[in-house]
Amino acid sequence: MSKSTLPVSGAVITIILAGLAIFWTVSCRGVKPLVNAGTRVAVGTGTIDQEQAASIRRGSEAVFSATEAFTPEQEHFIGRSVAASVIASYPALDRPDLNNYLNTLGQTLALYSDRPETFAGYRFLALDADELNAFATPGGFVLITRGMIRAASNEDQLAAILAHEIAHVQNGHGLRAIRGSRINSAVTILASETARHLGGRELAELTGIFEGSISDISQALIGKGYSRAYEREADRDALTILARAGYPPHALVDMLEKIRLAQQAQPTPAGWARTHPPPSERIRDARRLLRGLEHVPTPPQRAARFNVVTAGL
Amino acid sequence: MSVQVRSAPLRAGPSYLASGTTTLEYGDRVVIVEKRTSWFLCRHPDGRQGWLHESALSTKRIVMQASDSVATTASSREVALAGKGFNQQVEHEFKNRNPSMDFTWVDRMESMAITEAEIRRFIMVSKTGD
Repeated sequence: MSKSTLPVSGAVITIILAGLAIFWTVSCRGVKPLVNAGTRVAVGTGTIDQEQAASIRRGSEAVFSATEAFTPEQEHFIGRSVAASVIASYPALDRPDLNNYLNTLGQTLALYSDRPETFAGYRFLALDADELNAFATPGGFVLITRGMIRAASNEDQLAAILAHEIAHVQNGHGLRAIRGSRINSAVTILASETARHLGGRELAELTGIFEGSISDISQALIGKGYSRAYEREADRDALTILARAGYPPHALVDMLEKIRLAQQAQPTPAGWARTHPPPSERIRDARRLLRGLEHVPTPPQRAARFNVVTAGL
Repeated sequence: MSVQVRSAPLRAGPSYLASGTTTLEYGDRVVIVEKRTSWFLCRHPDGRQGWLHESALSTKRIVMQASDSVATTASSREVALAGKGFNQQVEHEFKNRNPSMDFTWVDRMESMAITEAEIRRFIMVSKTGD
């Protein structure tokens, strides 16, 4: 549950006393006066204190994390647009049987994560691309290329990739890609807004911040990738999800081996290779976590349903 | 606490394998009767009771309508207004600014909900092979 989601104000605007007038600065740039006016109102309504307001106006690091600043509902809208942005680069694969299977497997796995429920639930989609890649947006939209699905020999290995992506959502890695200055600006506009429907100027500002946030996250997903620490965290939590769901955690190591071999065959890094740490490093870390766990063989009953939907991929 | 997800079935027990008896909606307020690890036994003001996972709940009060009563009855640190901030309106504006951005498949993804019965069947096949 979100214990610390940033509160946003009610209907009453309290007039700030003269003492705060010293914080007012006039600027030609659109956002600055809005931020200043907004923080005054926000302080007045008690949603942020004076120190936080001053921090925001200094433009320093985020006063609130993205998880604190945005409700799961807002996270959902962020996720929708990030998903649309991924699909703009990697078209959807229109195979209803495969997508139904991905959702059945994925939504089942999500129930065993630390965050089984997002605002509108986890959803999965196959992408029509040969490169080995997978993306998870805030709110739980998970997209996986046919190349990655093809690389999996069985359901266990596919589950491993989906579990890894679910772990990214669970840990809020996508949201954390949003720049601090954007969060500060969003918080200020939201704290000062009283009506559900934004005025023209506020809507324009907020949409600009939204666009910037989508761009920050898309760059992390498609461009430079997450940090090694985030990837290690996602691998570690994927092992937990797999084990809880009754899948052999070793399947993640097996899948990483597959990815490593596929990358060796590539002259230049593409897809997963460009945005993730080298598989050998992740394999080493994962094996360390698996030490002492017995190697559970793949149950044959999962083979049939996997083979049926992945035939001809 | 408030329900912070779009819809949340109240379950007969603290598990996703327990069946949902009735469904709560986004913003519904509940009182916590009992806690068991990451599950809460919740009671709705209308008397309905059942288990929800912590990920479906927020300590914030989620208010569906912006009204004067919000400011007078609750500390603003404890309140969130539903549909505020990044919402339908902002997405609409985003689409206007980026007409090449296609949300068709995003909408389709949202509709790909798997029923509880299907999930249970899926899990059973894994265990028994039938």
